[in-house]
Amino acid sequence: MSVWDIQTEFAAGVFSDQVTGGRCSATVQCEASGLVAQTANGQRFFLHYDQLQLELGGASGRMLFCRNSDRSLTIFCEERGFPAALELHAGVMLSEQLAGLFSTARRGRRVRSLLLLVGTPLLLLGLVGLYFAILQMGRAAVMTLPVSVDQKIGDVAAVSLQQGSVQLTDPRILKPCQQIVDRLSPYAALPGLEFQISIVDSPDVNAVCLPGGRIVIFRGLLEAAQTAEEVAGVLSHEMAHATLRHGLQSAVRSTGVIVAAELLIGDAGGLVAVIAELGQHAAITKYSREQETESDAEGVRMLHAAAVDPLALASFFERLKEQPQQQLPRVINWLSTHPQHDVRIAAIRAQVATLAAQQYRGLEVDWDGLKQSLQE
Amino acid sequence: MKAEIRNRPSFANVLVQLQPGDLITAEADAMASMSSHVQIGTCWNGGFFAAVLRRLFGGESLFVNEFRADSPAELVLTQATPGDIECLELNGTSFYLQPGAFLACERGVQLGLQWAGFASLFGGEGLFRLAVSGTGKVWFSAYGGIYSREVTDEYIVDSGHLVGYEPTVAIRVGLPGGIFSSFFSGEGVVMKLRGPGRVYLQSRNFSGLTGWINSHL
Repeated sequence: MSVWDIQTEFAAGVFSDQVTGGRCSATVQCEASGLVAQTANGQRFFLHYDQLQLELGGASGRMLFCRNSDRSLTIFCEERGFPAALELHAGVMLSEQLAGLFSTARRGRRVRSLLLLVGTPLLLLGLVGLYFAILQMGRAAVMTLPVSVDQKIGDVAAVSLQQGSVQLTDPRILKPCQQIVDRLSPYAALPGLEFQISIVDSPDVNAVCLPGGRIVIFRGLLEAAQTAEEVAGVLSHEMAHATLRHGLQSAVRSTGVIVAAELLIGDAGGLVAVIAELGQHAAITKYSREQETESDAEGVRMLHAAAVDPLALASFFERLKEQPQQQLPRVINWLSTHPQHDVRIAAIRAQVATLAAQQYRGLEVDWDGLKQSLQE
Repeated sequence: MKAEIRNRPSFANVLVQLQPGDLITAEADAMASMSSHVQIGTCWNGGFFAAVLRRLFGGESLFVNEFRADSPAELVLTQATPGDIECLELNGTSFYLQPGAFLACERGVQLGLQWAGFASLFGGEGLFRLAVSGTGKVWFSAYGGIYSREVTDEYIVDSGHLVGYEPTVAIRVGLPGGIFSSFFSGEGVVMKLRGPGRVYLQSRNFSGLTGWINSHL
């Protein structure tokens, strides 16, 4: 590049006591012996190259400040070609200063790029880690909450679950179901829960136990089960969700870090408010696969402790598998949230094999009366 | 055009006396009152893409309003929060405003959006800043009072207090003291401004207000 290709006039500014307000915009030219800045109203300022003190700075980090020795005059310029023009005209007088400045700036840029390159993934990893740590601690905090919180949330969710549904109130259906629950409830892992049942007139093969102990049984489940023990098996699994407080944990998971953080600092009101706001049971009855496995194991433990044959749960799963295709939509509700039943049947059988010997007793309920009442 | 900032500093507003041919561009919703014959036109805040960028990153609205009149008229402009308004006269120079600070400007002033860097983001001031340049008056507003400082070497400003600064001022983020005292003193991260140049600061911090209200909810 020849000297003629280099731009010699640049948009710049001046700091000086001689201009109104102490600064103004100007144009700067690189002349043979020094820099000449000219303001819009004709004021001229001159800085000789051999007295120039250079500094890089400004908001962009690329602004070049040129000062005299007593710093009474500063000419600053941010244009890209200015340092090259300055070096070309000032030659050796400024080459050392310019090289020092720009190598420091380059080093700074390199360090910043490196920090950004290494720091960004680390920061993201840290944030993700923090997110899961808070959720994990939120889940742990759930276990320390009083049972009254479960009951409040269960009450809110029950309203949404039973909305628009018809309840079955026939004592010939209600009583056997309540007897099954009463047989299991003394062996619940969480004391203080009151297990109350209601039966919804729906063909879905489903049952839900809300936080706090409210159990909603769908008519389809009672129709699909062949023995009272099978109903006990499903109910023990659902009751385990409540005793292991999976609903609250799911709510913490789905409502996120804020609620988890609130629980950690001891305010469960946010959780109740969020459930009320959502107004739906979905937030607390959508369980993870781990929670389903945990509930299976806890259900088997409850059944065993209550002297009800735990294999009834496995046999109910097996029969659901054999349902004809056209009936699948009815059982799909329960199966869709309970995947991989082959694995679960095997796990239940494996767990039962490890249990201490137990004399299982049949459930003394009027099962035939229940079935007959359902048909009517 | 004559303009006067009234009711300073708490509830400042700008009374503009428009003359035929005058044009003033103001942030959307800035008009408090005006003469019935003032013509108001709404346009994208510097074109569609620029407007979207300013909305997303500059804290400004998608649209700006242009006010003009064929005969002498009155226009009062104000801001949403209680606080002061300052006027700056650009003379071919540039000035940077923090997101949300812009209120109005005369014809001849260009609005642009500039990358402010990660230091600004970590300082709580956003990734972008609004650059005003050209010739004419610019009015900008703040939450609380506005005071300015001529920064020569280094000056420390808590995050949320910076309103605007000259392009000659460099900003970096730092801690006001040691790690322990910085975080437990409540000061957290601060901005270290390096001159030369003038900076405008607000005496109140809006995040401080929202934090205080939140703690009482």
